[in-house]
Amino acid sequence: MRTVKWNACLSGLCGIAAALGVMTASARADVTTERGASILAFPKVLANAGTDSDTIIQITNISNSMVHARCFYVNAQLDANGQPLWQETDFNIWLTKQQPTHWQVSAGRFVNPNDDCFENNQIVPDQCDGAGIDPGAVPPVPTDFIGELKCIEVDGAGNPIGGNHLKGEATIKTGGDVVKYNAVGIEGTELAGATGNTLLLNQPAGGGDVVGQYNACPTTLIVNHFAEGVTNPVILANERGGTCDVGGSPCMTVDDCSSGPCVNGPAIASNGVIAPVSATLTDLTLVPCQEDFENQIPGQVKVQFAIYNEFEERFSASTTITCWANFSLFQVDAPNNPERSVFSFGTLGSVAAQTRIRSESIVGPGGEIINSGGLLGVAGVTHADANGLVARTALNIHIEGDRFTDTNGDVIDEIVLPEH
Amino acid sequence: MRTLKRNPFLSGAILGGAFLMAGLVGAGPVSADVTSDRAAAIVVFPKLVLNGDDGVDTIIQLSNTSENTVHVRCFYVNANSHCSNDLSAICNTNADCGIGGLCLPGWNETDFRFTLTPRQPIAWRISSGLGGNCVAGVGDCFPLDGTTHVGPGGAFNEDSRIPVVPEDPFIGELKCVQVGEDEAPIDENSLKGEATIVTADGDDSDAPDARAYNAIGIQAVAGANDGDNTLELGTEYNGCPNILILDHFFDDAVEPIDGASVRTDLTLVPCSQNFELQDQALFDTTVQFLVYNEFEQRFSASTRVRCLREIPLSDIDTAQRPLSDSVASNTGDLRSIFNVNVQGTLTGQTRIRGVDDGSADHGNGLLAVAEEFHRTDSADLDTVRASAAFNVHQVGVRATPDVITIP
Repeated sequence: MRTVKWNACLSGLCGIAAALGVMTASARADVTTERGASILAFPKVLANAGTDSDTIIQITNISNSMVHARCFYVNAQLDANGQPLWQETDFNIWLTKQQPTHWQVSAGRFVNPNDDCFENNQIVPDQCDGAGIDPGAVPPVPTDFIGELKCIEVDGAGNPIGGNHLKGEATIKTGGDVVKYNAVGIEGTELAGATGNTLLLNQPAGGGDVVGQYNACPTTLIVNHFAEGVTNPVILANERGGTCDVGGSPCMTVDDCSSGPCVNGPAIASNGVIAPVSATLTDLTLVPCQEDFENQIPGQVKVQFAIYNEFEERFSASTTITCWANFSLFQVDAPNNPERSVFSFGTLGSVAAQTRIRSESIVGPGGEIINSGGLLGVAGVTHADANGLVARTALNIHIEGDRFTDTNGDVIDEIVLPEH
Repeated sequence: MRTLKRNPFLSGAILGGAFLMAGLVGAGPVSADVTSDRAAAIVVFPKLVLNGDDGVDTIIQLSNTSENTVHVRCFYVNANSHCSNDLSAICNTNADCGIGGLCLPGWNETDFRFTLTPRQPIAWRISSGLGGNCVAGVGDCFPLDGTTHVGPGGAFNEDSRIPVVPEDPFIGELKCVQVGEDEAPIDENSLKGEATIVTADGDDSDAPDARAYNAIGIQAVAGANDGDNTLELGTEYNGCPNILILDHFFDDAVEPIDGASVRTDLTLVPCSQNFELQDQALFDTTVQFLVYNEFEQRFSASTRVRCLREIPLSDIDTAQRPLSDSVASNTGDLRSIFNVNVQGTLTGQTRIRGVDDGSADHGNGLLAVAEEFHRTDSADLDTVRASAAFNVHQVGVRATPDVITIP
């Protein structure tokens, strides 16, 4: 019989190692727009002839190992009853170490090893779209697509993992104009995938012990924005906005003119159609954190807005979001009378505003939670001059807190993937 | 004589403990948590642009996310380079200065302070400032001036004024630090900000252009601030990241939606700065770039950053372009490893790292913002139709803390 001698020295070291292992089991898992993550959310994806829009998705593997991902398009086009379709299409991609990739949403990307852009020993730039290692067969989206894209990091067998190896950007072109935003990343922990295809967003933000699988969605979204209808200050100062009929100095309201009207001053809509002139509009694209792709059940969230103007005055509004929503701020409370909206310059009385967005669970008559209510989103701003010519920007939204901590763990957002 | 018996178990434990303590106490990696999506104690706007002749200006939006009054100290950094033979002439290369002229980099700081009441947002153009051009509540005024307007409880923007930037044209950065009533830095994270660069020139047949990015926030560590004017990133505040990661189109790539040719500009600012000594050479940093294309092929380049470096990607490894040169193929850009004519794929990943210079006094971390320019003519850089800005990703921790010294 072989006797194993107990090595006291090594045992001492092992004790320390075990303690070290416990100490380093704390993990950071955050919702982030600037670090690698295990879930990427692109809240706003457009491929819509009606708005002359299309989107290029960029995803990169920031690790030195191959990475796999399951991706889900969610089509939120409105059906005949005015409700979002919430139609999901999924596909798989894989990226080699440090590999960036991209695809145009309306066209998709197919596996074609022969689509390089070399010709006569030179590179022809306008043929480089498909060049590179294809990440997999990426389907084109349906016609007139509006919706979101989510990609979940998985292992080679398709099981969700918390590798945090993915980052992404979306470039949206609309009529020649361009905006770009970073994908919203949800970091995972070593527990990611522990419940199979039901992903629990229940890790508190900011590090600490590993208790959950993926970071919980934020409690509050914070948006700095211009009051709806304000003329962009640079457009105004450069006399590309409204001008006083007498004297020609820049104006936003008749009060800015010593006499006479303010010509071509701010206007948001014309004949019920959003058509900004000398005006700035902010739109939000919000998606619920909770999504059930297996049973095709969209999330539904009640949203509360608290708006603060430059005079520290507080206003409020609310709405409900199902599946996906994109709206200008004024459409929250006054879709037919934008100048009367609580977000408008006429109500706020200041150029700048801060809006804090909180989501709430939808509760049934017996107090049961019907839908939990985390939110993710991206903001867009349209700046119009006096001729109605526009420039657009996109910004990632600031976040605060996390819903798991805020509810003492009572509410957990889930993403349910279909069986594969 | 007493013989001391060695206890091997304890020896192992002590040995392991020694290694553990060395890791914790020594100059090991510092925590890194720069953020562009959370409120912070320091907010950095790496790129501000003003050019009155071209109708370019930058709007800063800043708000207090807390329910308390917040005091802020801010620092404009003027990074204009000037010709040695004409100090009023702004330049990008020696070629901009004519015969015998050298293009000398500049780094001049202007500081100011203001107060924000609870939840208060403000916005200003860098060409006009706020509070300076204000008469009886008319003009570019702080909203709560304490006379015509006060907030709840009588709160107002006490002792607040934001100057205009010192030059037009201007390129530079803005850094704002949350301080207490005594103007000493504090460990609260209440500030969030955005910058929007707008072009609206006199030709109203052209659409205006706008691009926006979130300010980069450096959060204070609770309980770690000693209140002096040396802000240590990595101990008192979260540290700067070790590597910045930029996903981008390769320069002169033709994007497939509408055939625009794309170029990307990168603006890098050092994490370490000394606003008291104003010695721009103190934090010269070598920057290493690793570039991956969609074939997983890897390339590398390097450059140096002093104070602020705003550079088109294709200029990193080729000759710098004079301000007046708009021919895309000039200055060797088509041979750059950042150019599609070398890479052969539409997009790439570039990993950017500031090389530690070994100084014990400061680190060589970097912060960045990227801008993308879509133009209608592949040969002419002056045919920009639209632009977009975006924040750069980050990874890793730096071995040496960065330091910001404020006066």
